[in-house]
Amino acid sequence: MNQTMFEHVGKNLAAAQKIKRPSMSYLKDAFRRIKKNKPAMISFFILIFMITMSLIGPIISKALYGHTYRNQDLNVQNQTMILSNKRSVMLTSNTAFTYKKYTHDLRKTKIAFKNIKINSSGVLAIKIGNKAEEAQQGDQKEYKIEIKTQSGDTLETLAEKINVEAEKQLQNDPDFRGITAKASGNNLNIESKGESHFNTKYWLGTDMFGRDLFTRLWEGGRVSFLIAFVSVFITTVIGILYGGISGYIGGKVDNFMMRFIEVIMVVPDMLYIILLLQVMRPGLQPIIIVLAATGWMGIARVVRGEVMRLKHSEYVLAAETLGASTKRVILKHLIPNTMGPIIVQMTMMIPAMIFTEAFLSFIGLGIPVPFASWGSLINEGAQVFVLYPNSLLVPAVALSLTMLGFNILGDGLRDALDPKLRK
Amino acid sequence: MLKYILRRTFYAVITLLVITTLTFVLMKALPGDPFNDPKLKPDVRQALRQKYALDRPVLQQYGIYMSNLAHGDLGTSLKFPGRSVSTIIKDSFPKSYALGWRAMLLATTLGLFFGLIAALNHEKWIDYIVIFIAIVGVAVPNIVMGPFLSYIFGVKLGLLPVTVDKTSSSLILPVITLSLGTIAFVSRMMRTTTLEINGQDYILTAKSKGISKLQIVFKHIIRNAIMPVITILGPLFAAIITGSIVVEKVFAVAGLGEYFVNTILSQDYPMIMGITIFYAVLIIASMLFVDIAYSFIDPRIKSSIGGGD
Repeated sequence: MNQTMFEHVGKNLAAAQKIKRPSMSYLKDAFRRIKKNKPAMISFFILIFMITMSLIGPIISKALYGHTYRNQDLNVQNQTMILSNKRSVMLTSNTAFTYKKYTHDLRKTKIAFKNIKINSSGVLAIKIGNKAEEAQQGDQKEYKIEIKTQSGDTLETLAEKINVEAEKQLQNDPDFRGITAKASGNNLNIESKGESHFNTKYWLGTDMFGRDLFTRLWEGGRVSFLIAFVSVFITTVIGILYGGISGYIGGKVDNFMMRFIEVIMVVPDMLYIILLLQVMRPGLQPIIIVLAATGWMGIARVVRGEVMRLKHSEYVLAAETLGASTKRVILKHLIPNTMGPIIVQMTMMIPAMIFTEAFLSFIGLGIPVPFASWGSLINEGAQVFVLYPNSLLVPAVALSLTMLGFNILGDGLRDALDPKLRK
Repeated sequence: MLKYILRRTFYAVITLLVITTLTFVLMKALPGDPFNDPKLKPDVRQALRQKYALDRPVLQQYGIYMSNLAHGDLGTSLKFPGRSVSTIIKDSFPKSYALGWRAMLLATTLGLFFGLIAALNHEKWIDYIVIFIAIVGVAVPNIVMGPFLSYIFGVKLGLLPVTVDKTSSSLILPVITLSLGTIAFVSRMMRTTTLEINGQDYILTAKSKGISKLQIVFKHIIRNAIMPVITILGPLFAAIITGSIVVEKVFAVAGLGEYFVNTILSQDYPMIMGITIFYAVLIIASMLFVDIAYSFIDPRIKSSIGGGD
């Protein structure tokens, strides 16, 4: 290796000044930071899923099965996600034994007798299937099994007799699907057989009027998201204007405007909302208006604080010296620079709005029937949840996941947009 | 100090005026008047209108309304004719109160405790459990939590009653439902402030002086960390009250909250307005109380008053 192998190129000032990599803007930097925050990213994708499903969910189920949020079919009330063709078991008459306790499961497909004492002679009759109750899921057939006890019968032989009788019925009619009786200690369990399969027509089941829960869930999501997004947007506009003016002008005006907020913020917005909704007809528009009218104070305070902080900065001074009007300074310089905290505040307000809407629907001031929102679905589900837990669980899970998603995403955004606030 | 208290009281009175005036305006904005019932005889209606001064000019009506309020007269219920709103509140509020103070007590003690142990065990499993509870408490609203808890513990396990009666065990589920959100909020706040205080110089000083860990926690950490939590007691009280509206409906408490929901459904306007004002007074009074109490506890507040942000 010697000197001749190298060539002297000299200084290239133009190349040295060139910016080779893309410049890192504020938002890009924030985006880079939030991509590293796993919980926030997971929440982000959950929210994307929820919003997309709200948009396309009702379209899918309408295209496949023709379900709409208001189509009622009383033949398919309260279906669950997993359908089972087990028949119900019912004791019709019993002189065969005495028992202390009698329990059955939710759909009466299994009955249990505790502490049995067998009589020497008696008749036990069981009804399998119930025409009235099976209207939704079965083929509306009823069967009967009857056995007699003799002296010397034990619980085991009694169970055996029921099984033999059931086997005979099954030979005659395969539709019977069979039952099993099992004795353990002093107890007797009778359970009907059957198969379970996923509900292929109503994916998440149906409600008490036989409306498709899948369609109603995403239709409700549309309403909940719409209310939240629109009202948060309006609140933000009001908040930015109010806070911006108050913070920029300062002095007595600021003092008065902030005292006004303080005065009305003492009483929780829920009371204002309930009062205001008394005069308006319940519906989508009034709820949005009322939510926007009562929710802007928080964001106004945030904006005012930021504007107070920024208005003495050099670039504002420069703009003012160059003769920029107040309007221009607020709109072009101050508000864009307060965007970070505003975005965080907006993300935190969306779940609050969804929750308030759900609360209103729950106490009967929300979206009128037959429209759905997550709050009204939870309200309907809560009335029948003891028998049909899925009608409560489905909207509850959707609502909770969304609330969780927005809260975690909001925390992540705060960390990403303002690293100084990180704790 | 006196100036501060006077100013706070002044704000409270203004707030009260705002909400009562709003109530009055809304009542006037409602279509018809409360005695539009066609079943009423004309002379009875006239008498009723005269009694409630509905035949006078609006401003005069406002004056009468305000003086009635000042005397504790909130009007008469439409759904229960002859019963005044105040007697209904007097009858039903004790049940809500029984629920409310228990929830408040549970929420603050558990919240403070959780937040403290989470911060003292920073980034250990206790910390993560508390964070998880805080997240669930925030994300799962009580309209979900109430039915869910009563399904698990009342129906599935059969351990606790799902409606409230005279037994105290029937209060367990509603109190837990009511306080869960607040527990989450308080523990999260307590955790943050405790972490902050743990890094202060005076804690380091105390440690280097050789004071025992327990003494540091009780004498230095708790005393300082509890301060910011006291400021939010007022809003917490408000949250418990609004939460109580849902919880009382879910667990059939027959308290003021459940009355409130029923009157909303039956559009009993005087009742709705009356109960709202009652709630507002309760909340404003508690906020005022907390503010004043705080200024006594923390002398630093005097210097920061009026300074704005």
